[in-house]
Parts: sequence; structure tokens; C-alpha cells
Amino acid sequence: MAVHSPMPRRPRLFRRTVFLTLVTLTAFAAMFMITSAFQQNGLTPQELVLLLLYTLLILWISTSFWTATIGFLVLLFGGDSQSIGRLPPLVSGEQDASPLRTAIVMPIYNEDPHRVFSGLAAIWQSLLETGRSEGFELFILSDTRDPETWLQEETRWYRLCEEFDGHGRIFYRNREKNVARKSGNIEEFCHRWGNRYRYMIVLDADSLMSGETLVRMVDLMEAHPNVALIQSPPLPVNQKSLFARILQFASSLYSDIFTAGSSYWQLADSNYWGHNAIIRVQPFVKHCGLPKLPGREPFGGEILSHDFVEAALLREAGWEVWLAYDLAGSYEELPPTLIDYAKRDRRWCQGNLQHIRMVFARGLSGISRLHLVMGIMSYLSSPLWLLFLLITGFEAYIRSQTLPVYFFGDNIFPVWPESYAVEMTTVLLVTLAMLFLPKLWSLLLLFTRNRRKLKAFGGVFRVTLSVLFESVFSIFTAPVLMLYQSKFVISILARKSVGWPPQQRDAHGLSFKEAFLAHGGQTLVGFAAGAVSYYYVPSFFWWFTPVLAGLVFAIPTSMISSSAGLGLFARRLGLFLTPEESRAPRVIELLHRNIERDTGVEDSGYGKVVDPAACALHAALLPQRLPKKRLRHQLHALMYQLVEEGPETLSSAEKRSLVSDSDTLMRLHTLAWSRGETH
Amino acid sequence: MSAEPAAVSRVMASESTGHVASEVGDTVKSYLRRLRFRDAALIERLAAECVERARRRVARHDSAELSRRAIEEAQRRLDQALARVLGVNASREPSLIAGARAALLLGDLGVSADELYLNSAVNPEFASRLQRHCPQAQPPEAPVAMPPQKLRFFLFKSV
Repeated sequence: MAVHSPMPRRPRLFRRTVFLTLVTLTAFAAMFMITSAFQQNGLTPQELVLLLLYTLLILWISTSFWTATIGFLVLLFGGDSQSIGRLPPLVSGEQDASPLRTAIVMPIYNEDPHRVFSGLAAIWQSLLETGRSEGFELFILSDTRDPETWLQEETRWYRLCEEFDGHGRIFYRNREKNVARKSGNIEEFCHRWGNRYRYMIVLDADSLMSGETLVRMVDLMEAHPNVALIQSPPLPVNQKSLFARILQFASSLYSDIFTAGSSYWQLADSNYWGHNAIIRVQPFVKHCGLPKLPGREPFGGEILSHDFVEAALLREAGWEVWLAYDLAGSYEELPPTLIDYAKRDRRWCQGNLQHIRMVFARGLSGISRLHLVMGIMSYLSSPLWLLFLLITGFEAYIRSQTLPVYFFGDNIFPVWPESYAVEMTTVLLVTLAMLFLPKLWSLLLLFTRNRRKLKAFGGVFRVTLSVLFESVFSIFTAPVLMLYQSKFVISILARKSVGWPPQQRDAHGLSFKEAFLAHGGQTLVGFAAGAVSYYYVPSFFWWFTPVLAGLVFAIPTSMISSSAGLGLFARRLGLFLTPEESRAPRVIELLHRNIERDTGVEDSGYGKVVDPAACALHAALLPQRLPKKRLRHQLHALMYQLVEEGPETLSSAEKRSLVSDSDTLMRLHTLAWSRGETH
Repeated sequence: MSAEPAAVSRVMASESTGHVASEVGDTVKSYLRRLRFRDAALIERLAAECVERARRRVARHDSAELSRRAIEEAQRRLDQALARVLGVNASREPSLIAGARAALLLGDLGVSADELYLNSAVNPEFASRLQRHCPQAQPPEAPVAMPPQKLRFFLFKSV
């Protein structure tokens, strides 16, 4: 049972009223201007559609703008006294009976073991340095299917235990079947060990959290027994490619005002972003078992973006969910190229669109629905913008073909057509201002509030230049992402599902072929749209050029920005610098050290099978059970296929089945040795 | 005339068998070294015993099978020795023994596998060190039910 919330209703009501009023008033003002421009000769059907689209888009932009503006004001005046970090501890009569133990859980799925375990070692070491590690245990929840990666993970896990004397405190398990992906992975953990822990801190494969932050999160949870989840705002770090460094810079500089603003109006009804968050296990177990939705994917089946739904379920059960905007020491990594970014978007898009159904769930509060709608709009806004641009172009064409009529009926005086250029330009400028002002707020905040941080961003000149370049870059990439996301939305709505492929996280330069295959269509669209608009509506063409330029230059933009050399060169020039780059926090320093210390070169899967140590370890971790006779024969056949025809003739699933049975594994091991395949 | 080729083939067969045994012996020795055996005499003795025992069960010229059996024998002997140190039955606790083997080979025990053979009496200090380094992949389970929530929707089919 949730402890009654100490957060009085009044500030909550006041803040949300202020926020929603600002959002609505801004949207109304913009709509008023655009309607007055349209209404000169009555509304045509396409104008009506434009108005509807603009209303949706301006509401979305305005939500983001006011969140940032409120966040700016909050930070300008020294922070929010009602944030979770500043609220006084709540004294509760009820004692939590669960053991005061925290599991740091990292679900992984076919990730690079070298990076994963270097990160885990850094986190654990940082935690040990706090002197308060005794209440923590580390759990690597592997859903890895690839047998080679699986064996490497085990060896690295054992080495991690050895390095930190962590036997009995650092655990590893590989699920036999990765049912329900990440949410199923966490669920299985809760199901098996839920009663062992009071809290769990959920990490992503690329997450990094300092020991102090982990300890602080537990302290906050202990001080607030009414809180079920605290989300920390992760900052992107460790990026090398130009693309990722620009994104990293933008996130590092601008995210503060957005998180502070979100925390201001959401208070105890914040959201969960899936990782870098602490969760109270008991309410999570009780309320967050996710059902399989009826129907097939993409709207039915397993809930992909489980985090928003879990947060909604916790809130509905009376528990508080907070965003600790001022909690530092929480980091993540970003996709290295525009293409990888789009691929990640493809998965998230499906997860968020699945929430269309969740919006209609009975019994959800308004704020839970709002969170879901905001997630959906992150992706739906792209096709809406595209539609808006297309209809605007069409409308401009119609207008260019219409001859003005100056004399009506018997009237001898001409009626001059009214010009609404002022209103339309104002609408455009207001929209652009709302998109770009948050960048200015962040810059102002940096100049006025934090001189030391300003230096870490490279100083006034460099940070201003970086913001300018970043803005130009975002203008170039926005149309590309708009087309990508529109394509994703359409294909998902057409019920084309996508798997949950592992992410490419390492920096890698894109070849022309890769870039051409990914952006060739967009470039063609850019040229075609440019030609059509220039030929039929030249006046519209010039307004349209920023969008067209982004599309026409998609291939070079993508290729150039994928370069790690350019990213590092920009860093040497002091461009797109972040405080974490200027002076790496201890946990990042530890990560770099761990990565450098180890080359990351490991035996292949077959090499691991030959290695008596890795083989013994794997056999020790496998469940001991005798497979059925038929399976034994199948394994036997596969084993000889591998030995005689080579590992490349077997599929990954077949190799996995071979190494999943300890008897087969040991037989394979001895066979390899007996055939002299020991190198 | 006919006896000579038979004698030659007998000699050749015995030479070939000796050659096979020596090759297999080398494989087993190299395997034993990978099992962290360091004492050359011990490796020599163990390899010879393993090959000898394997030879009783394998057809004469099947060197690959002989090699496989000999390696299995080497594993079995190591497992028996580990089981003796840990005070368990090797065939009843295969996971524990595999874990002990992993600890011996991967762990920072500071001793070689020779320790298991050169000292006939069980060294309790070694046993406890081995146990400390045995992989513990998962803690004891503390299960809790996590029932799927019932979700009801407007316009959509409910769960």
C-alpha cells in the first residue's frame, strides 16, 4: 500500500494550471493569427486541414517551449524547493519489512561485452570508493542469444568478480528464452529475486552511474517511503563522431532546463525513461506485471516501451514517481551516426505508437494519458509536419493560379485583396522562436549562473559558436529525421513490425554506399520537391529551401558527421565541448581506464569451447538437466557437423543449442582437443 | 616369404601404435598444462596413465577416439581430485565441480593444479580458497509473484 503523499494538492494544481494555461494561450494566439489570415475569403477545405494540423503542432511545440522556459526560470532563481532532492524526509509509521538491499540490474542483449563489463567495473569501483557499497549487489541480466557473446560475457563476469572480490555480490544469469524482451527480463528477475531486494536500480547496457549517485538515490528512497521510482536525467558522454558529439553537446547544454521544467509541473507524477532510475521493488512487482496485449504487433503483443506504462501503473496505484532533475552522475551513450540514430528511432517509434492503445486504457489519470500522448507526439509530429508542408505547398500553388477579382457586382470601386503577410510572418517567427529560444535560455543561464561550467563548455566564444553550428546542423538533419520518422509511422500503422535488434554503439565512419542506400531516396525527394516547387510555385520554393537543403545534402551530411576524426578535431578546437569532456568525472575516468587496460580481443565462440577454463565456467553456469532423447540425437548430429564442416555451417541458434547442454559442450570440448584444434 | 611381411607388418603396426600413443600423449600433456599443471614429472605420469586407461577402451588405430578418451580421463581425474578437496561426490555435483575447475583455471588462487596431486592430504586452506573462488552466478532465489495487470480499454479489446 502506498504511503499517503506528503505533496499537497495546491502547488500541484497551481503549477499545472499555470503550465497548461500558458501552453493553451500560446496555441490559441497562434491559431487566432493563422485563422485571421485564412478567413479573408472563407475557409477552404485545405485551409481547414492546415489549421487542424497547425493546432496540433503548435500545441506540441508550445508544450516543449513552456517546459523549457519554466525550467529556465526555475534554475535562474536557484532551483525548485519542491523537488524530490529538497523535500524534507517523510516520517512514516510503517516500517518496510524488505531487506535494505539494492540490486543494480543491467539487462543486456548481444552487446559488446568489452564495453559492458568495462562500464560495470567502473560503476562498481566507483561504488566501492563511496565506502557504502555493502547494501548493493550487481546483477547482469543477459538476454544474449549469440553464443560467442554469451561465453565472453561469462568469462568477463567471472573476471569482474575476481577483480573486486565480488563472488556472492556480483551475479550473472542468461535467460533461456528472451520472452517479452527487456521488460520480460526485468520481470523474470523480480519474479525470482524480488523478495531479496528493497530497491533495484535499472541500467541500460551503455549506462554509467557514479557511486555517489547510486547511494544518493537509495537515500532519497529511504527518506520518501511514498516514492516508488526516481528517474535520474542521464547525460550523454563518451562520444567521438561529429554527429554524436553535436548531440551530446546539445543534450548537455539544453537538457537541464527541460528536466527542471518537467519536474516543476509534473512533480510526483513524473515519468520513467527505462534506465538510470531507482525502483522500489515491492510496488513494482505488485502493479507492473505487464500483460500481452490482444492482437498482433505492432499494436498488440508484448508492450515494447514498457517504461511509460510501468510509471503510469505505479502512479495509478497511488505511488509517486519523480524526476530528480538535479541529480548528477548519471550518464548514457548515443548512437554514433545519423543512420544508427534513425534505427534506434524506428524501435522507439513502434513502442511509442503502441501507446495509442494505452491512451484509451480505462482508469488512467489525465497526466498519465498526457505522458503517453507526449511520447506518441515525439514521432507523430514528423508526419504531421510533412503533411503540413505538402498542403502548404498545394495551397500556395492554388493561390498562385487564382486571379484576383477587384470588382464585385455593380460596385465601381475596386476591392483590393487584403494582405495577411504580417500575420503569416508573425506566425512563422513565433513558431521559430519557440523552437530556438530554449537554446538561448540555456546559453543565458550558463552565462549568468555558472561561470565554472561556462569554462568547461569552452568559454563564451566557443560555446556560442557551438550553439550556432549545432542549430545549423539541426536544421540540416531535421528534414531527414522528419522523412525517416514519417516512413516509420506509416510502416508501423500499416502493421509492419520491427524486431528488437541490438544497437550499434561504436563510432564507425559511414561509407558512400551505406549513406547512399540510407539517404538516396531522401535526396531524390529533395531534388524532386525542389524542382516541382521552383517550377510551379517559385515564391514557395525560397521559403522551402531550408527543408530542401537538408534533404539534398543528406548523404554528405550523414557521411561527414559520422566521422570520428572530425568529431575529435572539433573537440581539439574546443567546439561542442561538454563539462564531462573538459574534466571527466571519476566514473568516466574509470571507464576509460578499464577500456584501455583491456584490448577487448577475445577468443571466438569455438575458441572458448576449446579453452578448458571458459568451458568449465560455462558448464558450471548451465542448468543441470538431461535433454530428451530426440534432442540428444539432434545435438549429436549438430556437434559432428560443427567438427567436420566447421562452425560457419551452423546457425547462431544451432550453436546456442550446442553450448546450452553441458554434456554436449564437454564432448565438443574433448573432440576439439582430440582433433588438435586447440589454437 | 609369407612370414616376413607378417612380421614386418606386426613391427610396423607396433611402431605405428607407439607413434599414435606418443602423439596422443603429447596432446594430453598439452591439455594438462592448460589445466594448470606445472610439474613436468607429474604431467608425464598423468598423461601416461590417461593414455593407458583410454587405450583399453578404444580400437587400436583410432587415434582421435583414443585422444578424446584420454582427455576425458584427464578431466575425470582432475574432477575427482577437486571433489576430494571439496568433500563432495563428483558425479553428484557436476556443476560444483565444473565451477571448481573454472575457479582453478580462471581464478586468482595462487596455486597450480599440482597441489591437488602432490599433497595426498586435503589442505583445508586450499579447499576454502577454492570454495571462495567458485563461481556463484546467482544468489538463492527469493521469489515473488508478479501477476500481469488487467488492462481495460475504451475502443480496444481489453486484456
